[in-house]
Amino acid sequence: MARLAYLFDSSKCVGCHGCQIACKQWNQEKATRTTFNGSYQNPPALSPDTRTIMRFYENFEQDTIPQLNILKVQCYHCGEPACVKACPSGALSKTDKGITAVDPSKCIACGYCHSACPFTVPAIGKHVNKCDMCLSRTEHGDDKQKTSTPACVKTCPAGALEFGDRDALVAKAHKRVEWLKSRGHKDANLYGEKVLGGLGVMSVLKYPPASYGLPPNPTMPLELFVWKDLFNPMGLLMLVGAVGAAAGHYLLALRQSRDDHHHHGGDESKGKEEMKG
Amino acid sequence: MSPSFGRGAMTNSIPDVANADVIMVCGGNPAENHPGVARFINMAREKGGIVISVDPRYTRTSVLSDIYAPIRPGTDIVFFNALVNYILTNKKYFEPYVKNYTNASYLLKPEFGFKDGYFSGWDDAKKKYDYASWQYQTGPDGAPLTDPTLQNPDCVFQRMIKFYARYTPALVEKVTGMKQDLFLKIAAAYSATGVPDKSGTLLYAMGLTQHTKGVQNIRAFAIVQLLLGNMGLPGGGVNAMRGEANVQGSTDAGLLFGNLPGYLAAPSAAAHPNLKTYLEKITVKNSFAENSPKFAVSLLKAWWGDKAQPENDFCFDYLPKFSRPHSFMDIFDDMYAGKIQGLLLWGMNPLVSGPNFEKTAQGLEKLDWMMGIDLFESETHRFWKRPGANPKDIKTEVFLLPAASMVEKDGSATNTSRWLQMRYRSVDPIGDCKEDGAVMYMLVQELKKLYAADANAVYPGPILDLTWGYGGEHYNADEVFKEMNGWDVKTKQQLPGFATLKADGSTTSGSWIYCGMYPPAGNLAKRRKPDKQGIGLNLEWGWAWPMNRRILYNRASCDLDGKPFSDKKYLVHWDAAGKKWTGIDVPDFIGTRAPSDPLGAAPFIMVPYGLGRLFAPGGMTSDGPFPEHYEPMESPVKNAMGSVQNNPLAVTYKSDRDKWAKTGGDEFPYICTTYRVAEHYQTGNITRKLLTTTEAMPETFLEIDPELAKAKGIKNGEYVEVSSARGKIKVKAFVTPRLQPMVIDGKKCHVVGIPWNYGFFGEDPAGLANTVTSANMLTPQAGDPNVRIPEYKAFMVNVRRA
Repeated sequence: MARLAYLFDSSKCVGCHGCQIACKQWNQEKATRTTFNGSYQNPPALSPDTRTIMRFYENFEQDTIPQLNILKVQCYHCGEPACVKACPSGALSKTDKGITAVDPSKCIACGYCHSACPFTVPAIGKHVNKCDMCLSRTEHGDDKQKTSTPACVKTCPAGALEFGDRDALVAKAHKRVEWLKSRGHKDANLYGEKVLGGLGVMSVLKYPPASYGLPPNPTMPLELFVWKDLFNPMGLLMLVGAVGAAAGHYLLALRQSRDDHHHHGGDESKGKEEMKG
Repeated sequence: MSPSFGRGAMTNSIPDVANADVIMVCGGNPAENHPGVARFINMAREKGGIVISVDPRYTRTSVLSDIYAPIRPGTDIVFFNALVNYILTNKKYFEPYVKNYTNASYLLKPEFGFKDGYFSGWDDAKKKYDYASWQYQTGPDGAPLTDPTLQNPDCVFQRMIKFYARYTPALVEKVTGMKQDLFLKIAAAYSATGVPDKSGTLLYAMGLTQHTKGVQNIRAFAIVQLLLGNMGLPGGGVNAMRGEANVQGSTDAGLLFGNLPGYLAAPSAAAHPNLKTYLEKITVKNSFAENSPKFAVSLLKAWWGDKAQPENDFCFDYLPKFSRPHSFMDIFDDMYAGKIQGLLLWGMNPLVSGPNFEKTAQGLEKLDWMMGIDLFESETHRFWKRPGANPKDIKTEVFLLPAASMVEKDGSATNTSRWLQMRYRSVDPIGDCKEDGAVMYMLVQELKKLYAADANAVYPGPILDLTWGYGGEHYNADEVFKEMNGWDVKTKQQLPGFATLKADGSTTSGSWIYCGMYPPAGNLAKRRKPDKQGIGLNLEWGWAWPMNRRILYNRASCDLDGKPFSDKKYLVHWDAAGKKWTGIDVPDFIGTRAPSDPLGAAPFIMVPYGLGRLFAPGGMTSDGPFPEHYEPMESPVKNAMGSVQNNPLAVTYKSDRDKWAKTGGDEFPYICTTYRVAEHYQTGNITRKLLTTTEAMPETFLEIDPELAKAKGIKNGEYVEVSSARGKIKVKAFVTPRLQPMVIDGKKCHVVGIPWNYGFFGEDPAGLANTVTSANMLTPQAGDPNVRIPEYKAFMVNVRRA
């Protein structure tokens, strides 16, 4: 079956927060009390109540036009999802359409997915919370009722979000990148075509990924291969064993170091806020 | 726009923005305030279009632009007039269009002139103009004399060359802060649309209108569009993006204080003592507005039915007559003076939206009663509990009726594209909430009862004789639109269009511009067929006034013979064999008037002799026939144009709460402007009551450039105190490089800005803490002389760490 994907075109996005709010409404997530924190960005991070946010990056050097770079942040639905590999309980899985799906009833809230994710996306409350490409719409929706596209795509007024066959979107995105280059954006690029087995959410960017707080070359943590190769057959059972405890400890340590790393990376890219679970 | 083209409405449509080759966004921020427009801006760009964003701030709209230029708030006329000068000097205008479709060739009276900041006729003692010299030279038949070669020194074109010569690129940099080379880049890009196969559009909103010269700001760009031949084309026009979904509909229905429905003039006691004088004065010869009496009489018939007869002037005396303007600011100034007893507030939150918060609040304290009809309790409804007020001292009695929301009622919205679209109740109103139509119905029925029962009632006729049906308490929106369209009195048949209206009382029409939307075939505003193939005219989606014409003045897309100037910009043409105008749009012209007929090549049909007005004669724009730059009422600098600092006719008030910053003074050294954010709707009385939208934009903020922040020791996200001559508030600072200091007349100036969507009551942090964070604590009551819109967009403040 053809792989589904989103295409987010940052050069068309106006950062209106429509996608963020539509996501909350459709998925019946709680709105939280926030305060102004020095940016248009709010809520400040993905959370057990928030599956997608807009991040804003403001750059300016003397005598250049200020940049207001907007990124829609959510689960990237990697082709090779580290979270699925890391998940010991089977709560995370990959559907045949390429959606990284969540089954909250199976989740034990261990947080390994958050640690393993190259973007530290999955948020852990009572259970894991992250974008599931609106499975309730994309798998069970109705074209006629116009409920077959994810809520965020459906609501985008600027036409910055598209959803559908991944190959078609890649082709479209390349054209768009060429178009941006022809309009003088020499650094225009498509983020996520090849990395991590190809992302299921690709972003057209006017500037290099770092200007949007994105790691240029995200990789699956090496430790995860060790963990999976050594211990995978034992699955959940080993969590109760000594080996499992050691491995678990290792992953939690990794989570800590990755969060630190991300914080640092954020400063470099002049990001206002960090993605944190 | 009305003085320039004949009608005051947005000329094109939102989807039509996609057809533009160059989009000038100035005084508007569609990405944040009209996000739906962003889609069409993106479409235009993909087709090769260029977007120019001119704004004091780099906004979320600027993200979509190819050229961004900062501009000092309140100096748009300098920028636009310099654009006109550039077009004239470099001969970038579309000559056949200027010669044939504008009044460029009209000869002006030799005594007309401009000197020392005033146009001719200024009376310094009376502080007003005598408009006698602002006129054309006319022949014996009353028609203007012309020079088709445009060489006569008194012709409008030559007078323009003289008047505009002062507006140089150097002046742009000196006054607006926009660098000369950037201005020249914009001028070159925009004036490239002065050819037949290209079109450019202006998208604007309150950033141009909310000034003491708001009307002249629009005039200034309308003149650019006429010179470049951008009116009447797909992707052209002057496009006012309305501030909310049904602003167009409400003004169409007569909401503005100076208008009856359909933009017929509201009668005044002095000028219109009786129907005869009224009809004479609204008749405009040699234009379509010579039919105005038919529209006015049909309106009176719609309102007072069989009681309206020729013998009683069709109940003309029942219409209220004004003796002075009753605009928003005038009402609140009167209220502050204690001249108003009661206030009916229907879906409005003026304490947050009006200028000079404290003056508004103290005015409300002087009311005997106030009745609000709204979804939620607003700041205005609880003005007596506002921070600093003592409820014990306030005697105003406040009532609040619960209204049904837009999904709980039937009705329509006329969007900014002039499209009427019916919409429908999807759920029943909760609790005691009622549809506005039902509330209005019951209110009038009650008034009728009270008047009927009172033998001593003063002048009960207007209420008792009012036709009032609409399905009764089970109010039916369809009935309202039947009435607005109108019918034949004898046959009760719905009318097919306003051409069938009569002045003899045999027809009705509640708003003549809507006549044609509800013909015998049914309500055309219910249609929902999208235009998938064409250029986005969407002729069968809803219904656009007038007569479903989607692009106004589209006759101007053709040459004198009725042939399109360019196939690329095709809308209509003259079908010589069929002897009629035809095309992909409904012709905005008299359908059978041949190009060779009298006025057959005069596309602006609402203007006498049908030519677009580069020069607005006779004081129709009271402050000048050409736009001249004056500084905002509060400014950091003296007017570089001359000794007249402000618009000499600017509206100001004289109460003890009307205070001003000194020009160039140290007390309030920074320029401040106000705006909205995408996440909140108007005063936030819906969106700050919902946590979903409040979460995304929880608090107001003052945007400050990094240099000013550094100088003042202000850090991003920390509290600052912002003060003006009217009041002060404490809000968080948003230090952002999207604002940059500018050099004005050799002096470094800082612009700060603040959203006005916030008040002191809601789910937002300030609302929960009962703290006033309204931007309108700072703004002055000053207004444009033509329409009395307040100057929210440019005033002076001080900023310090709080």
